[in-house]
Amino acid sequence: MKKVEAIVKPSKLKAIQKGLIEANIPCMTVIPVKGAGLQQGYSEIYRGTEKSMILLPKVMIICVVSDENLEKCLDVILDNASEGNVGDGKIFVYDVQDAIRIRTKTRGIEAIR
Amino acid sequence: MNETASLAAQQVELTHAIDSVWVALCAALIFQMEGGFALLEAGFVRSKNAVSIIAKVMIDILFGGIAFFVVGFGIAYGKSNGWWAFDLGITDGDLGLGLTVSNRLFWFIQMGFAVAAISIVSGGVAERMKMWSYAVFVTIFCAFMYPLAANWVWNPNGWLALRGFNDFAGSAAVHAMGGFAALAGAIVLGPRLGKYNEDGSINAIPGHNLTLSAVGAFILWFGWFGFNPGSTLGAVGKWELIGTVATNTFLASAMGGIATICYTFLRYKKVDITMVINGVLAGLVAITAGCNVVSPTSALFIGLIAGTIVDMAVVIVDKMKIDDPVGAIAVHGVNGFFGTVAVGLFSEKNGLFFTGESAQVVTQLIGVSVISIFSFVLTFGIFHVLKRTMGIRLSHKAESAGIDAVEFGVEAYTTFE
Repeated sequence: MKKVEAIVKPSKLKAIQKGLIEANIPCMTVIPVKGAGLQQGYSEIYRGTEKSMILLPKVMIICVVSDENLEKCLDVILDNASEGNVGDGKIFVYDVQDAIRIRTKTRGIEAIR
Repeated sequence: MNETASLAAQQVELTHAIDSVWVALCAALIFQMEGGFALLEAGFVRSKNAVSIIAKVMIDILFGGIAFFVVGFGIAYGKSNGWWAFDLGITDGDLGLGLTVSNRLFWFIQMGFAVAAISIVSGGVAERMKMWSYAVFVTIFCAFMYPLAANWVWNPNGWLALRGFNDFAGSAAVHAMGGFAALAGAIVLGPRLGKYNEDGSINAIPGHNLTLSAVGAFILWFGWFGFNPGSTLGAVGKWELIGTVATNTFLASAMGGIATICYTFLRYKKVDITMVINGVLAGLVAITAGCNVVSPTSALFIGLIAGTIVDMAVVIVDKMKIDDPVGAIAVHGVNGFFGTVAVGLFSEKNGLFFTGESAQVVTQLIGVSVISIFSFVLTFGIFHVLKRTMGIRLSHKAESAGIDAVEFGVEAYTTFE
């Protein structure tokens, strides 16, 4: 089992969700986040004072998928999130120790099927 | 003969009735400006302090309104010796103002003015002042300070009224009064934590909800059409004046907004809508003194100037290390001052630009200077006394954790529910 954490532009969320549903891996948790990459945020002027290091709004999509679904999941996110521009986001992949479906108390890979 | 007399009596009765309807309507419009102040200020502060702003505006109305009933009105409109009067409650009998509405209705519309003046201060001291010491100041302000200014300007025996000082709806008595009190309050309180760095550079502290601020501004804008046209204190025989006042009020506010849109775009390459809100209000504040005596064209110029100086004033106030979260000093203080002086420049009757005579502009300058200095010095003193006794500044803990959670035990925006 792997946990995929994709930080993407908020405008890409719908397309990614649709793609994941079509790939039959529809489970996801989404968190609105703010962040900066190598550009270190941007600046704006508020009431005559420059405000620097402003973090950009992004969404973080969290999916826990089986090992065989991992590449499929990554492809969907990459296909839908990329514009080829700075600020497209990043994806992180982690190993997952266990998963439990609360309703049935099922554990392991069965819990995410 | 009898029939003529009864017709005349009927006409008087009708005049009272029509004027009362007009004044009551405008008084209600002025009163709901408090909602505008609350939303505008709440949007301009951080979300952790939104409840504290609502509390401050509530205190303005509650403590300020009662204080203005108990002694405020008597000090403003009782029998004046030129500088003050004294009476408890709502003074009975003829006030010498030629009123066609009851003294009680006149009290109600004047209460709206008093509460509006103190609400200006609530923005300047936002996000760092203790609630109870603020309540004490509100009471003093609405019971004594504002009524004294109103006495000078609007009491028929007031020394400024006798000099021919023209402050139609209160650029000086309401806005400069409130704005300079806010200046003194902000200076004594000191800036919010994190507003200035050790090297003297400024951090912007953006408001948490500009949509709320905009709604507040629109409500204030709307209410201003009670504030200025309602200051005719009647409609019968004044219907032309109402038209002039309403038109001038709009034109100045629109030009104030246009000036700010252009200024921020040219200066910062982006239109800063928080400044545009201030620009519109600046135009409104500036036209308030002279909306009865200037032409619509002059109103455009007054708005244009007001909208430009407010942008500069916001930045200058910031640079002077005076922290004014909502721009109350720039909008109400600076433009209250400018608007009052502008009467002496743009008045069709006796303005410098139209008649070449400087007598009126001198009177306007003297009046607004005295009121501004009076407000500043007294507020400065009262805040210092409060600082030594009750304390005025919240603890660092309350300020950084948020006043709402620490002082009020409730936050404006709860999560996980």
